[in-house]
Amino acid sequence: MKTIVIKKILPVVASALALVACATHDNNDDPLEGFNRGMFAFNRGVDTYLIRPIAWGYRAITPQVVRDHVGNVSDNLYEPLSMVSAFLEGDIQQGMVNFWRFTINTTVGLGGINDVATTAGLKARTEDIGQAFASWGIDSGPYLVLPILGPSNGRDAVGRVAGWFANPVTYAVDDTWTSVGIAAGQGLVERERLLDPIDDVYSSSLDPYASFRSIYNQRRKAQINNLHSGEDKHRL
Amino acid sequence: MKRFLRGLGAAMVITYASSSFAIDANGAKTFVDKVATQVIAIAKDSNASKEAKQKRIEAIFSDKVDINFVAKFVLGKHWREATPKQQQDYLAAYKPFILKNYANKLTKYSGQTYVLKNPHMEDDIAVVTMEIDDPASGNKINVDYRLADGAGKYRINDIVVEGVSLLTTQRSEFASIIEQHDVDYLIAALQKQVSALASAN
Repeated sequence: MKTIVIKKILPVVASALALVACATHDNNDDPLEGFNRGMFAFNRGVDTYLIRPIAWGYRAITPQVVRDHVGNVSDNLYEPLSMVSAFLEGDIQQGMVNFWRFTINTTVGLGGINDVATTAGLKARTEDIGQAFASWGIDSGPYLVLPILGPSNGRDAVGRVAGWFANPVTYAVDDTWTSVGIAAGQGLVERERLLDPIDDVYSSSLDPYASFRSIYNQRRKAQINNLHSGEDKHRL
Repeated sequence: MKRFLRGLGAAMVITYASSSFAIDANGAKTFVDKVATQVIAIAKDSNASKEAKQKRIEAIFSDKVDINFVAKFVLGKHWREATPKQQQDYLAAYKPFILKNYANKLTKYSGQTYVLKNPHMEDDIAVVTMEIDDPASGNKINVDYRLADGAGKYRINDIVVEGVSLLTTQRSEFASIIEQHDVDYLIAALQKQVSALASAN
């Protein structure tokens, strides 16, 4: 079943990449702006009335120490995909760091509850398929706001789909709804972490859509260049 | 005559260079440390009201940030296209806008500590990285302060949070507003935001 999916998906991914890898784009280049602004407004509505209240509720009912450990478990489940992505980037050393972080934190760290690997000197750094594509010289393509998932671009959107299939966790779990549940849980952890920064942008920006677009583009560039490598616990 | 002019030019360059104050990486580090210490002392002051803290932090930023440079930079090409009247109105609206925004964020200080790392020069800009440690969440955030020589003093030009530059972000934001509307609309929006922030405190 899974091999059929891969056989079917890979050509789609490849042709989608060929489509997006057309031109370079600067910060305000946004050929899909009309669509994107509509999607941004939709997402903001869903966020205001559903996702943000859930993230607030999660913050309200849990002490920081609990959220730290839940966050560690969530981060730990990113490690296998980071490892695969790092290998695809040809960064064997980083891939091995992700491998050992996952191995140590899953065992000694009790299923990822404790991030003992960082204490042991293995610094956290997340990689993803979008970054691997970038390392192959694939251009970002047009800026794209995805439903619910938010800011992205052609390359990173394809990377997200490919990441689903390249993620060892998907196969270890081997149940679509469980995988979706894990992804939703990780999303909630991330949304709680970003409560204050996102509120800040909304309260200080005169055009939040343009601000988030610029922030996403800059942040991805920094991640791709592995700026401040090892210090990066926040994903965006 | 030609020789005289060349000599005069050289003399001017020498005079300028010798009177000019040169910034360096370590000086920048000391500067950032001093400003951060001042701001944290104000934010921690439990006797002061939020409003009073905000005012004092605004005063520090007004002195330490090269607001005129930042204001012109974030407007980009639209600065040159603006009429003198628009430029004047824009500067008048931008200054309280940026000060209130910064100060508002900094009064929310809650026990974070910092280490200054890797001071270095990038051409004539000094860059100091502040690694902020949030004891509540255990997260580390890297903030780069970019400093330039502003009329013989260290001046903050840009603050870059985890690779995201405030200047670049604001420039995109303003460009987007001007593309949809015009400079006058931006000025009005800045003024509106300032009075909203002022009444929120």
